[in-house]
Amino acid sequence: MAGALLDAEWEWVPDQAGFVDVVWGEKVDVFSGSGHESDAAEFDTKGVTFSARLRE
Amino acid sequence: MTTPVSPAKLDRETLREEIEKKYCEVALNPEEGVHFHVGRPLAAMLGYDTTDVDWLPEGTVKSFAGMGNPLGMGAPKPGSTIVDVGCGASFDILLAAKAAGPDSTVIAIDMIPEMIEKTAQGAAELGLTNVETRHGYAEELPLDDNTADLLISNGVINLTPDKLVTLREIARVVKPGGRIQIADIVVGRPVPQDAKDDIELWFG
Repeated sequence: MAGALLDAEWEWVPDQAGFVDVVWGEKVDVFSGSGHESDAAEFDTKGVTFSARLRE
Repeated sequence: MTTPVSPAKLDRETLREEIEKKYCEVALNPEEGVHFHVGRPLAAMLGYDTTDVDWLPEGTVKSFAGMGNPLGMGAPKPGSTIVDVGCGASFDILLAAKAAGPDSTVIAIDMIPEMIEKTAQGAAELGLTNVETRHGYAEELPLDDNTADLLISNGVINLTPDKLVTLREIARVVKPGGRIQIADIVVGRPVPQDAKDDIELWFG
């Protein structure tokens, strides 16, 4: 999970790549209780989905 | 407020080798491989429709490893061109093919041969003739410019060392006005740069 980003970093990347109208979905904890050791909780790690449109 | 992202200082080829080992395990032995939920329990957590999940081949469902529900952000349009970057066991792209119908063009891309094979098997099992598989990397997509009406990805971009390079490559293959629907990992506390630069910590 060392490749994960903060919210503000996720907002920066699509913007810099030319995407607009970014819409964020709910965050989901897909790590807790999976039965495997992880650093996910230490970094408050969640799954999240977003959509965006490429600027015309 | 947005924050610029620095690329991780690690060897991309070594990272790709480690990803291939890890996610090949997910294809072959789904319950063994990763530090998050997989398969049907994960699909339920992420709000996938059970009717859709039941429609998929069991092998596809068992190997599902995603961070969200990209198609939950909007269904693909009939007849459109849909691309999945890092299709994995094909969970999302087969559902996209179902939603968009037989006149759509559906392209599933993955860097792991076992996942590509699983995708081709899943499409064949469902009788889908419009699903094309290609080997490739998120930063070097095997696609022409302006190909996709909709590009989806689930849990893949976090595994690339330079997110801006990856998103710019995605922008290259999406048509102007086209959409991306991406699920991935977000952290509430910053990951230290020395951890970002340590490949061992990318999978834990």
